[in-house]
Amino acid sequence: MVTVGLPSYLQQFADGKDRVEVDSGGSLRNVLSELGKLHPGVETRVLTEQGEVRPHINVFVGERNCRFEKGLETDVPDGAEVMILTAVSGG
Amino acid sequence: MKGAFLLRPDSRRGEWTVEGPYLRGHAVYAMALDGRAGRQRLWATAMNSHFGTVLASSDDLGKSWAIPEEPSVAFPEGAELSLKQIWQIAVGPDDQPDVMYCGVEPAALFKSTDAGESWAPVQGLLDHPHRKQWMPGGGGLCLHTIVQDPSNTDRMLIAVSAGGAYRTEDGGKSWRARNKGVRAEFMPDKHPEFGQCVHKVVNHRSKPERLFLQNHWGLYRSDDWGDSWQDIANGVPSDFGFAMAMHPHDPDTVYIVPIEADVFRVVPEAKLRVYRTRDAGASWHPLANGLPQESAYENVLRDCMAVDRADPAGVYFGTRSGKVFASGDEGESWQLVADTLPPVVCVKTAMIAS
Repeated sequence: MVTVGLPSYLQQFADGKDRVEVDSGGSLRNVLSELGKLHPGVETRVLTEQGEVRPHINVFVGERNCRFEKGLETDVPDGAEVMILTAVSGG
Repeated sequence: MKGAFLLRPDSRRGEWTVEGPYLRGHAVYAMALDGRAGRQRLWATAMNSHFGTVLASSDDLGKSWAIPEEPSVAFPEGAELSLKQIWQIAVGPDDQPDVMYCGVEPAALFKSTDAGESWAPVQGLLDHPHRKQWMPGGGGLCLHTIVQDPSNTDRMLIAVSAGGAYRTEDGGKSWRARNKGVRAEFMPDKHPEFGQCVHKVVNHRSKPERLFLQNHWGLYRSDDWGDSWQDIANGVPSDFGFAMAMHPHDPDTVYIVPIEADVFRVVPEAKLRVYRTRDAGASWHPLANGLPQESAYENVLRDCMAVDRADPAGVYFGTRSGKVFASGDEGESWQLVADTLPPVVCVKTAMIAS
């Protein structure tokens, strides 16, 4: 089981929840794919249609930003917490 | 930039009320009302800088919106392109009431044949051999203008910044660059086949073959659907500008807002003036009655001017500084109808039975 924390904007696409439990570990790609089966509107707003994390979104596995790990191949151990956050961009 | 606002006038277009913002927090670069087939459906693009762009629709003029879970306008897998922005929504011909078009960034044309439910890129343009050589303009590599031919639904002209104008005669299968006579100040060859930074093109339903074009430097007219272009910058303080609107009833009358220069994007002499031609570009004259004429460091972007279909016609425009001006007498006099909005990036009109 993995817990995914959502920023406020995305909660409207997840029945208002700020955390979603996903019954899958493995890679971050798998976790987001499982999340997308539950809440497709969340996945399409985190990933582009080409399957990449959007430029101004950061996805953390624990305290590690996947951008500086193995991207979507970053390992997500069972029981981990994934956080989707908006990058500080713009003014 | 922060949502969609609806401005409604009283019956004399004198008093205006502002509703909204709808799609709060999103940049709304394009809107359109589809009144075909018994619909009264308002379409808007909603861009969130973190989470992407979706096409949203409202059947109650903005009170509630249908926002698709998965964006309906998206590049197919393998296209190696991801949608950034939707720059134009165009309702298709009256006799094809379920056809709609979207112009997007990165530059591509999307078509829907089910009234906006599902969308696919127009492959002939996506695969165009010139496409890889198009360069982004200041606003990005965007397809922002869609000009239709009411007498021939297989013909269409689109414009890309900075790729230039392209026309199809076969419903989008093939496209030819139509930029002969239009200059590209920023290129070593000032008259390339393509690569021009076209800002806006308009035509009139009654004379669709005659096009008017506001370029990144240059004001042009074509009498042959873009096969050739003639300079018509006759009497304007600058031939740089973005916005351009066609009069609803008179095919000889066009409105523009000249801008001083690409490196100083404000109206010349800091006087906010709309220029109008009534002789198809042979001469242009300023319209300034009611517009600020001192220290007006304003800019009007490419989709920020529109006309209504009333008689006399109403003309409207919005500025980067969040002002909206309206004229109920074809531009003779102007009134400030909204003052402190977010930057205006799109102004559209619709006449709705009350």
